[in-house]
Amino acid sequence: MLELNKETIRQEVNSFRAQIKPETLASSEKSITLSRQGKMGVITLDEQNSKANKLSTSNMLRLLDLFMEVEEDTSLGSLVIISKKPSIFIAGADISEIEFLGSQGGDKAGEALMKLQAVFTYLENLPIPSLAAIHGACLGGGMELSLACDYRMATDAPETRIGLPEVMLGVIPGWGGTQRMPRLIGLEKSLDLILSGRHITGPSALKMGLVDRVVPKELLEQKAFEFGQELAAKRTKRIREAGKLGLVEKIPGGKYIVFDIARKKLLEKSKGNYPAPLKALEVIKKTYGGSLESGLRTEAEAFSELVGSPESKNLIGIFYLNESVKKDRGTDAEVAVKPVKHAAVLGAGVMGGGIAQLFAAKGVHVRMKDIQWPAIAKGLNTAYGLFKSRVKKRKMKQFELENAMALIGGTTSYSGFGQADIVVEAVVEDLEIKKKVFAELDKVTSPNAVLATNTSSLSVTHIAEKVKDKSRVVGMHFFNPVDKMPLVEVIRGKETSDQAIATVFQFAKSLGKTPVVVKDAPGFVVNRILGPYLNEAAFLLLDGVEVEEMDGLMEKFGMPMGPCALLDEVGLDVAQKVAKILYGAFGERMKPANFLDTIIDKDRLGKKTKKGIYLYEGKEKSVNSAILEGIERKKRSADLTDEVVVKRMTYLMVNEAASILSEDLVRRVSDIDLAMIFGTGFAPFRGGLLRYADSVGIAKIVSDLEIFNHNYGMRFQPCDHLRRLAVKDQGFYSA
Amino acid sequence: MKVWQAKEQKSKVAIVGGTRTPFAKAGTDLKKTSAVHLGVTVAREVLAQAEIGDDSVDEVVFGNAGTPANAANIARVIALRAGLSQATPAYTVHRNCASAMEAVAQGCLKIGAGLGDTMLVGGTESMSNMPLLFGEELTELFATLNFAKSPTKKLQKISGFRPQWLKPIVAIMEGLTDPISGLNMGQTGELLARDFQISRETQDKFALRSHQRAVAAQKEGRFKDEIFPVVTEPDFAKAVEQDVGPRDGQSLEALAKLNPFFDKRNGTITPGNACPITDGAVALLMMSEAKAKSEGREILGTISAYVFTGCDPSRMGMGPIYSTSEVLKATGLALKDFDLVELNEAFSAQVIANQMAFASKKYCMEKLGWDKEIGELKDELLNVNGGAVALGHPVGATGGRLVLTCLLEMKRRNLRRGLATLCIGGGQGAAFVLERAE
Repeated sequence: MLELNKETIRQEVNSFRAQIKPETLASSEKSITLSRQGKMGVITLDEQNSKANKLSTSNMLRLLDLFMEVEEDTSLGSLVIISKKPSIFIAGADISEIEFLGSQGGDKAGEALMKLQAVFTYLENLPIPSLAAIHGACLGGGMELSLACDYRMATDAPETRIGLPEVMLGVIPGWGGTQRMPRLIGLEKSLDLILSGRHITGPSALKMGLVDRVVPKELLEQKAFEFGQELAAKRTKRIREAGKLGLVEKIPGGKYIVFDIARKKLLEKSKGNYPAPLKALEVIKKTYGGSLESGLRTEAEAFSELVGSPESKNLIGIFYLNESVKKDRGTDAEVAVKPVKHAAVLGAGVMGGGIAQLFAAKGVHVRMKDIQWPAIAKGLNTAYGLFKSRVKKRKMKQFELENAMALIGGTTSYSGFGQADIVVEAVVEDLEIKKKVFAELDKVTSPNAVLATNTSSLSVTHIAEKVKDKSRVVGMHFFNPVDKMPLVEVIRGKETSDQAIATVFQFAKSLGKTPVVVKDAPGFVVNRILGPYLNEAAFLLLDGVEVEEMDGLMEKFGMPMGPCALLDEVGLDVAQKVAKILYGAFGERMKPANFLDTIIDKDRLGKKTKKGIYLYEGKEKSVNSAILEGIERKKRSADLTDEVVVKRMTYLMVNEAASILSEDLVRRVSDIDLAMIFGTGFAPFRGGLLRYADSVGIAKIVSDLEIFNHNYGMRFQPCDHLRRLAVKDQGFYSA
Repeated sequence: MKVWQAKEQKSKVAIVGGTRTPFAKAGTDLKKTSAVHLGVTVAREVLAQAEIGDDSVDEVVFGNAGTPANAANIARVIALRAGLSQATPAYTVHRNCASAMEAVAQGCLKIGAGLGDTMLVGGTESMSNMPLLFGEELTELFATLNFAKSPTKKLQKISGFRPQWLKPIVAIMEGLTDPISGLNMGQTGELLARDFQISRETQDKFALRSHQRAVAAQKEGRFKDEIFPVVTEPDFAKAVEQDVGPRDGQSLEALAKLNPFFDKRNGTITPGNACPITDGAVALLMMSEAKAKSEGREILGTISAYVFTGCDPSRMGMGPIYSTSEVLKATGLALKDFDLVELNEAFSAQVIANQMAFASKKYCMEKLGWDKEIGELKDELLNVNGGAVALGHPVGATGGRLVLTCLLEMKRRNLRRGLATLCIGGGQGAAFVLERAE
């Protein structure tokens, strides 16, 4: 820990200064400025040439300079820190710098961090009181800066989001967050925020004691300056009271119970795959109640252990993937995209109802057509149920539900379809019916409307056959449940126009979804990769692996649920149908194991019938032992180790992904990772399927596949693309 | 008030679209569905069918009699929820049983005068959701409690409470009672039955015919173009697709078993030969004829004249003859010039009384200043698909149904001229002349 001797700090920090480009330093000088209003100093944050304020090292140095200037200016009685950005206070540290620190190795990172920690400690120790005036994102480093202030005032606007999301990037708060937050609001509440990385609104922050006052955004500057002047007149630092203790914490020894519960919960949820929250917990446990100085050191050391770890790198990689989607338009062609105001959905089943609800939730008018009114009522009831659960969770008001439901108009005719900017078809998966429906749509819609199909397994090109202008037909494949699953596969049929692609891509983003463009081929990306995975699960069951063993192994691997649970979730009948389509398209390597055909029964179709591979009772599930009774199963052989079980399932996915790439179905390698993470929840800490494959090494995967090919059947035969990579010693990303 | 006539207007006023919800006796299928939702359902559908842009409606007017406490200007709530832009003005009109008729009249006035060329009008009513009100004492207690400063003071006030204060006032009963005559609507009907010596049996026969005609219309699918289903609140789990009221197999015997409701000893009006209190909504799209033609829209009909008139509140059921008389005088038309008549069935006795009065030289001379009887209102042209006795009478919406039903039946039969008329609680009548091009 550095002594807070001005000279030492100046020297230490100047060692940084030399490493930063002069123009960067100059830009920081313009971005962060100090002004005086009577006895009140005001630091204004307004990052040059950027929408967001970020805490780069250069900006941290600039802040330190200003803090020193404030300290030296004895005429000042208070300091207010405020942002000029419309919806950001400080978005956090500069992530590229976290990456850089990671590449520098642990010790250097820790050292650098400790120096920068001193900037906020300097702020905290200023002789005059300080106030953070927060509107918009106040995350990570921004939160930590405001924690070092004496007072915090926040707006009640929805864009104000306060939190410490570091664990989502595989690290922990490193500039005092693990120290100052528990001191301010106690253990229980701060663990909740730090371990989950979630963010909260101004009013919730007020309730937690994280901010002192909430004001409307229009009044923030006025109220902050009034308060700043008051503070300046008194010129007294705030005496920090001990944080408000939670209920359990108050019991003698209660804090150990809190730590214990938190740890158990984390392990259960993460299966030990995510080290960052555990580390944060460890740091807080070790330092809570101790001195700030040693606490900060422990924090910095822990940070340096995590930064640059594979988990952190992968999570940061996903963050960037997400950012890249924001800039992507789905096509390189320059096309004008009309925003969707009116939409129509064909079919009021589970998918249709879910899609209509999603549209309505985002303020889009929807016409929902089905053949019979009871079916329409069912679709509306699906939408209502989703909204109502938001009302129950207090995420929505009743009147908002009524407004949203009014956006969905049911119809058995095509009334209103002529006004739709986009139609999404979600009728039964039957090519002839879909073709007929599209022929009807061709007549009732405006020629400019995009006609999308939510098919999961049929060819978009075939579905478009009877449409005059086939360029407006496109796939928009949502995943079930629509409101929760973030992925949308945007399918480019043979004649689909760039305009249709761009419209659906943009629309999906406006719905809060992650779109991935895929060319029209059976199973697209997600189902095609999941097909062999789920099929292999069936083979493994026949090879004597138990249901719970297998699901446990894949959960441990990092999947949100095991393959058997996933089969139940998807529906055994649906899985069977998709499997047949894939077999028809890709032949021998996708030949279904003799399993689903045997066990499927009309009231044994998975979760929807409460009976599948598992039995479902309320929230509990148990293995449905009856399902395996009539089936001939081998005894699990000794060489079928847990490791082999996982490899058989995951390597088949890698192999299939390689085929997809060689067929040029996606625009870039990372699209597959995006699709698998957002469509199946594929272990984010592994960075996605192909990042995972690269980390294992393609040559190793190919050699294992060759062995499996010999031992278990030709479905394991590595595809040419994979072999090529192995020969050239390349990875998917480095090819 | 003078009769409004299209020929004096800048522009003819056309009706280019319309639909209604199924009507359901209060307390049945639509009992938990709000008047707002009923109104939104039909408004949204009429706009969708017409493929009207969000900002292409000049104004929205809805009739509503029992104002919901949470939607005081219900027309504006309906306009926005139905998807119209925020720039669309909207207001609610109240003329008791003719509230939706008044909305149509507003359309005539404004489009006729050239103030706008597209208006969404209609009416909505949830009589199931009329509130119970606190009595004066309890209201007073709540008010003083609000002002009582200390808990002791509050307790003092509360101790003054008497259990009988809890007896609620039923808003719907208050609403259906005319404060001028002190009579509720059924009692005014009883007066007409006495005036015109209309027997219980005659009334029951009329009621039976209303059911038979409505059932036949249902069976033959004649309501298909008229009714748009409602998916019910609160949970949107059920679709109501048909009127609930019409009874297949209704019989004179069954009707005869019912007891008089309003005058238990000497009365003749029973729940069987009166209209039930009902939930439902109607919406109509009105346009200047010029605009409708330029857009190539189908014109269901135009309104060539209308009038509202006043009469004796204790005999409010005679409203139709008063208003029709004025319209005929002003337009020079005779009753026989009408191919079809919708006359609202508040009570069987009241419709029969009007029919008798139209044919009575004495009544027409004494009350209406004619020198002979107005003419015969033929059974076979009157309420051909049944009326409110079978279908129900959602007060704020009925006027719109009369216009819509009449126009759609004129289209079906390819007729030229229709009359939609009704009696209005408090002693008024409305009559609208509807025309259809060949």
